[in-house]
Amino acid sequence: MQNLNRREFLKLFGVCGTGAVLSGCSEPKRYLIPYIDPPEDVTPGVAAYYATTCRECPAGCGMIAKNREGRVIKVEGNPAHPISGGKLCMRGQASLHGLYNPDRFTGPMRRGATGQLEPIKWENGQDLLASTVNGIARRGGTGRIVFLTDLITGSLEDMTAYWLSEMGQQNGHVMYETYAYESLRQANKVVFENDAVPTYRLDGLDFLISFNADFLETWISNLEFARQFGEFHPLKGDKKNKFIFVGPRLSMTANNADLWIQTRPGMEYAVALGMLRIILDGGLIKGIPADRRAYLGAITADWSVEKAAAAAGCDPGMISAAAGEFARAARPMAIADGRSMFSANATETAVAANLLCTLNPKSLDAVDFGRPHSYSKTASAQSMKGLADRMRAGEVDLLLIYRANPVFSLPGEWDFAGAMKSVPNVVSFSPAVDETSSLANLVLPANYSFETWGDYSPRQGVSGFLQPIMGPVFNTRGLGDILISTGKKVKSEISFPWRDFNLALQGYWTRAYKDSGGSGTFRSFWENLLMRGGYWPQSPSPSPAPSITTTAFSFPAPGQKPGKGMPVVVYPTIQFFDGRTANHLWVQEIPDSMTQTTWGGWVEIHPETAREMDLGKGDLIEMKTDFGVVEAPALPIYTVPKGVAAIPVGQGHTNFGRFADGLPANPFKLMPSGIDMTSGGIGNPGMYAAVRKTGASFDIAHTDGSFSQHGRDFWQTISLDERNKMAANGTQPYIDYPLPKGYDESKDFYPPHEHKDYRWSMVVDMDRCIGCGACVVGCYSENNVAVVKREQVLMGREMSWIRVQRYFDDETKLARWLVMLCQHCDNAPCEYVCPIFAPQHSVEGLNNQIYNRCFGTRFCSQNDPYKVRRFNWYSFSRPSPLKWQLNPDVTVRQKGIMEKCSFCVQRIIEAKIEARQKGRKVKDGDFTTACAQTCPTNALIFGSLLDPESRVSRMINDVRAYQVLVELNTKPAVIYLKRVTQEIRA
Amino acid sequence: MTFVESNPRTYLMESGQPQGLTSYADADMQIIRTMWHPGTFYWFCVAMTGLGVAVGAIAWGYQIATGIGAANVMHPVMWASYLTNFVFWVGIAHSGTLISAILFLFRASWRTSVSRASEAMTIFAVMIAGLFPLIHLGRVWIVYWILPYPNQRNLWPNFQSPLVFDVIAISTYLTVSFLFWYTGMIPDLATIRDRTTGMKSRIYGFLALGWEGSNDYWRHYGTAYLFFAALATPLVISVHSVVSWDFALGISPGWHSTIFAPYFVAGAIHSGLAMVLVLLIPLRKIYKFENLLTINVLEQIARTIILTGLIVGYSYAVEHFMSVYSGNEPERFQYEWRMTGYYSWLYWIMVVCNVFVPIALFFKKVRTNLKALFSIGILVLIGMWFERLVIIAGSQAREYDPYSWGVYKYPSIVEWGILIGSFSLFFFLFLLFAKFLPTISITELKEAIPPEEIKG
Amino acid sequence: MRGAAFMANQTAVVGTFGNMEEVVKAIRRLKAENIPIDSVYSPFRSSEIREALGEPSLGPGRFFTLFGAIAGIATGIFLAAYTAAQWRFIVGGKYPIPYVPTVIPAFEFLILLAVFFSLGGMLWMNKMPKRQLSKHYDKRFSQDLFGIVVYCSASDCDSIYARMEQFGAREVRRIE
Repeated sequence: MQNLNRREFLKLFGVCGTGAVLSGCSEPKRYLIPYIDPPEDVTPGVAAYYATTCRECPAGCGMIAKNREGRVIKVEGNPAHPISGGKLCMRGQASLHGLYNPDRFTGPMRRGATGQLEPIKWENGQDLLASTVNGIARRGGTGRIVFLTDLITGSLEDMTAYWLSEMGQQNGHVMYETYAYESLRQANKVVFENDAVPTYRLDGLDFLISFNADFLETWISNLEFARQFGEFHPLKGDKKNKFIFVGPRLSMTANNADLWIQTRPGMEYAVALGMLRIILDGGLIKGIPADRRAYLGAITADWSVEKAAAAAGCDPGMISAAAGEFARAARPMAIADGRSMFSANATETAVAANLLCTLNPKSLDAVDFGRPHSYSKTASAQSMKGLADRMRAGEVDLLLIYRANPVFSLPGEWDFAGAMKSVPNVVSFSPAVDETSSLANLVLPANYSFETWGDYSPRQGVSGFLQPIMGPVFNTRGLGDILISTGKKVKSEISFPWRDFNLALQGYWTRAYKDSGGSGTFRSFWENLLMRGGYWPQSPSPSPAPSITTTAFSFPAPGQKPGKGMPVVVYPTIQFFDGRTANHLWVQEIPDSMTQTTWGGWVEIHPETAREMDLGKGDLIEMKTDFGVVEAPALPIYTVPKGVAAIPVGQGHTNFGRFADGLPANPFKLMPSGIDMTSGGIGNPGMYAAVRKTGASFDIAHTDGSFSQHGRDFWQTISLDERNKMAANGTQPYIDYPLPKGYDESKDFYPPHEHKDYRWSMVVDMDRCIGCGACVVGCYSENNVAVVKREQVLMGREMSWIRVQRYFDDETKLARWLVMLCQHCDNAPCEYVCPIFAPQHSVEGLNNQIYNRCFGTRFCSQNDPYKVRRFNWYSFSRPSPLKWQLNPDVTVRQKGIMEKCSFCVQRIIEAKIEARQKGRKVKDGDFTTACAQTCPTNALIFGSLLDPESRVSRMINDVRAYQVLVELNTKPAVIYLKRVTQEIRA
Repeated sequence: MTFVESNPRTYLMESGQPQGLTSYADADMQIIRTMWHPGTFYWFCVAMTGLGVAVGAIAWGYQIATGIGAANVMHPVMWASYLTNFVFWVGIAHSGTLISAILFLFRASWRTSVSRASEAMTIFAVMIAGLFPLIHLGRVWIVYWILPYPNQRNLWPNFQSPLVFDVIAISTYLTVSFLFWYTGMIPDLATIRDRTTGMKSRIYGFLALGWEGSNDYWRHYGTAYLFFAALATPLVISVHSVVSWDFALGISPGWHSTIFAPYFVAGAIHSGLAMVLVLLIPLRKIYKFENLLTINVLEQIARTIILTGLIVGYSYAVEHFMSVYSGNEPERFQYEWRMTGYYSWLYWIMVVCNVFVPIALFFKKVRTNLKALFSIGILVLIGMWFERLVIIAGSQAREYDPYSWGVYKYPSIVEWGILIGSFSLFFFLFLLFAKFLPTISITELKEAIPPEEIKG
Repeated sequence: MRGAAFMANQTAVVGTFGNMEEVVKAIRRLKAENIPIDSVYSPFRSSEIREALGEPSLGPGRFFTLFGAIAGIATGIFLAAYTAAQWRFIVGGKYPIPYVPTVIPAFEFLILLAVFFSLGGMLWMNKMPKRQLSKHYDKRFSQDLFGIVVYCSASDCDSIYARMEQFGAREVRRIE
């Protein structure tokens, strides 16, 4: 329970008990009557907090779910959890939209005579499944039942395996993840004799080079890496560690690098080999054993830096600079993406990165093969293709599906959907409709992760728990319970002795209890687990360093010919992962970090290339590879080099509910269909597409008004040297303090005003911001911010209270972010123009917006230079049951009302009440706003400026401090710290 | 035109107006004749404009039911066609009182035949202008919160807000204009009362408030009318200044400028005079008022349009100069974008219609050509409407934060409906006015007839 | 009507004139003979008649206007300051009762109340609105004729009647 303060402890304490299995949640009632038999843990008006685990991707972050009156209304990171550490990414927070997705299966269904799914009773559904299984078991033979799930571990994995074996099936359980990291695993096997995805630790490094691994977005465990990056990269004292990104596209991760080495798609390994060659040739790293030198020398013999640079398509100086930095660093590290679907030569790149890691023994401290990631269990693309072939050959009688959606994410040419038609019985346990489940002829919907018991272990040594935070929204059951009760029908009570899955889970964990030494009763062990949210031994013993082999490995020779057509980069985004979150409103609504685009896919093309090809923004283009064709609108933008196109994955759903369907485009349909036989991943020789303008258009809903900041100093940077010089001189920043001391006779007409007890303020450290947008979702879910959907975003009517503005530097064309929210100015221009005092200044310095006072002249927004006020153009509605997510502490705004960031005033009030009960004032760190709470890198700091000891009071005098549009004398209470830049030279 | 002459009659003779009247009864007859039996075309026009009003009302009702999203306003262009209409109609409203009050004080003779109609124009235009802030409100059903009335919440309006200035100024202007118009009409109503019988006589008699034209009546009336004129003149200037401060007190580039008050006043008079031309030229023809509304009157209006056009043109130039000279980058960008950006076509139409087209009026041939005058009136109105749109929507589209730039693309169907409704309402009211009230001041007309022309 | 209340039972002689020249001439001659003119009706406002009667150009209504203007300024300033004092909201960093913005309400209320008082003054002094027109009034006075009203006692009625005719009245009526 490290890092757990008293407040959080009290929150978690509410979890003791059996959770909140509540009745009456499925039918919204319209009258207010106090409970006669109050459900456990529910006090009206008081939130209960439960620890659980995020299941939106295999990273397995620990979460705290906030339950009000029987409904989950918000999720935040579990501060005690080793992976999330109190933070949560955009997708994790949007998991509530998976729970309350209006397109979830509302109950068991079977495909009727008309071909439509028709509702049936649970008993009938389970009988149907039992008789099907019975029939198969009677006919005999193994491999006739295939249980296709996403990555599951622990008790549920055990239960699935047991169930299949009881039904007489072997090896029937296939865990499908779109990203199985076959190439990464293969490279680890080649270099470290370990066919696994290890645990990486980035926080202790002093240099990092990433070969196209978007570790801040989707790579393995993006939130954990973001947190570690927040330790690794920002300014510490007067030092800042260096990070280089090598890849063809300026991804969000790349944009956080000090240097982006732009390469041809799939040629990242050339940079690594060039670096190796320079280090070896120059003897830059001492103490490399002779045999390794010889081995590496042989491998890099062909890769002089000029040749490498030519092959990669980059400046040789950059390679030598990277090599120099790598060699100079005490604890350098190289990582590579290792997903062959996204890049040619993925295995080669990963091997080359691993070879770099072998140069310095300290690098290997950050790679832990003793705690492999559960990704290592997932089925390779090769075995998925094998499954499709088996299904097509009629070797599968029953396909059971749980949450896996291969129809969407496998290469289009494999036609997994067609293969499923050859399976006589397809049963889906998925909670919501998707492309794969929609082909099932029996649907027995399982609970969503918030409604069910379970555990999930993202890597060895860390197990997160799931417990029902609320009763099922729809008529669904836990997958474990379904398996147990069908098992009882097929076999007997003796084979499946558990009353329900909760007991099976407890049985499973009895073993861990015994292993842990068994102090105290199992009951207290169990309750402690639930309260903490999982099981992770306090002090993991250090794993031995991996052994390094000298297996022969050949790299494709430099100077290979590119294919015909335009090179295409397909990349995953932080919003959609592999497309599984596309039915979550928030991630659709919140703009993509780099393109600032919402609701729909696009094709990024360099503006100059677009001009040459006569493509304007929104022109629908057809991209045709040898394997498939998609249509998506063109987006001229600087994120790709000239002559390269880039398409994000995640959109292009055809049967994934109302929010995801019909948006362009699914680039998995362009995927090469071959298999790389060594790694088992997709054999990707590089993707080249013929591009054709269709003549039609699809308007791109974007939120950015301009690429450039037009010299207006919204974002500001400072070089490390200058910063250090200024700090040494004791230079004070120029700040118009939002305090009486900010009064300046020469420019203030009216006298200063005092604040009472607090002056709330925020410091935004742009050196820490990685542009991930977690803060934005945090705000949406805390403050009931409306989602307006594509048509309204096209009209410029998105409602976001906080946004991560993206500008491109006019010269370098690298992106810069700026977190923009209400500045709570002391001289707020928005306030005095309102005719009826709807906005006014509170005694604590807040710029309050009184919703029920507002009648919508919109003058405040006109006069707001930061443009953070948002108007309710309509009474934006939320289809049931999405409205269950609403925070009852925050007013839902009606049409005709202006709204904006309130600095989470409801949290301020709650904290003040709590402090008053303790007979003291609110202390720094007692609470924070929703955006600051979830920021993985702690870029947002909230506090009171009247407390001289608060973090904000100390930080606003940092030399890097500045205010946006300070020349307007608005005296903003949001103070930014400049991003620190450092140049990487050879 | 000279304003120093103290006896109006001398240059009534010089300008030869009105013409062809040989008795006071003729004046009565000619004007009162227009008030009865207007014919089917008139009723057709009333029906069409009435239909237009209904279209506007339905559009507004729809917008209230769904939300302001029914209009194409967006973030950051939160104000567009509605406030353009508001400023436009306030501008139209200006010439009425200007002609009536300022020219009254300056003893400008040509005022007589146009003052009543232009005062009516003022009142209808202010009424319509006053509707637009309501139409544009997000929650119009609580608009009364802006009024300073004692309430149980003890919440009063914010007297620092330019919008409250607006409410006070516009409502004062409407009240004062109405009283000015009505007071000036009392003797005429008495005349009509005395020329009619039965119900008509009783209605007009009720409105005439028992007027008898004795010397005491005329003296008190004259005193009051003079002060009305003296008070209305600064009010005219103040109202459009206050309207301009809706923008100038904001801090947006393109709005925040001290030139706005005189610039808006000049623009208002510019558009108002154009509207006077557009209304009077058909009125003159339909009612056969050629002898009263002589070509000379129209020429005087045309000359004033040259003046206001030049002031407006000067203001445009000064704005651009200041944007560069001030060294304020967002300001400079704003004006550059105004000439070259999304709304540049509106901008150039605005410049041509407001500044260059009126220059044609320097030629007497143009000034005395009714068709040309009418067309120039229409063009100036279009130019002035665009000017307001360029200032309002254009300035917001490129504010400080480049990330939040965006454009209001075009009016939605609801906005078109309301635009049609507003023009229809204006002409509807004007048609009713032309039928039921004397469109030219009878007493002033009588005053203007040279006594030596009176026969018998 | 000056003196109308106590002279209600008196006889009046009303002379009707056809044009301005005639009526002005008649006024001058009546005045020369010291015959008190009660009132002069005209279809329009005429400075010739006013000058002939020797009246000042401005009536006492101007004091109403002045009072209204002063009251208006006071009202505007009071309203702005009093209402702001109720809650003392800080907006835009300004002092809760700022002085600059009170100028506008003060000015607008000045105009508004001054106009109200001017109009009120005119109506009050003319005893308007009223239901019954005075019996001396002739409908043609609002159209094309002028009229002079002179009150007379039983003794001089005849002579005044004759004078009216003599001074050019087209028609002379005796009204009880």
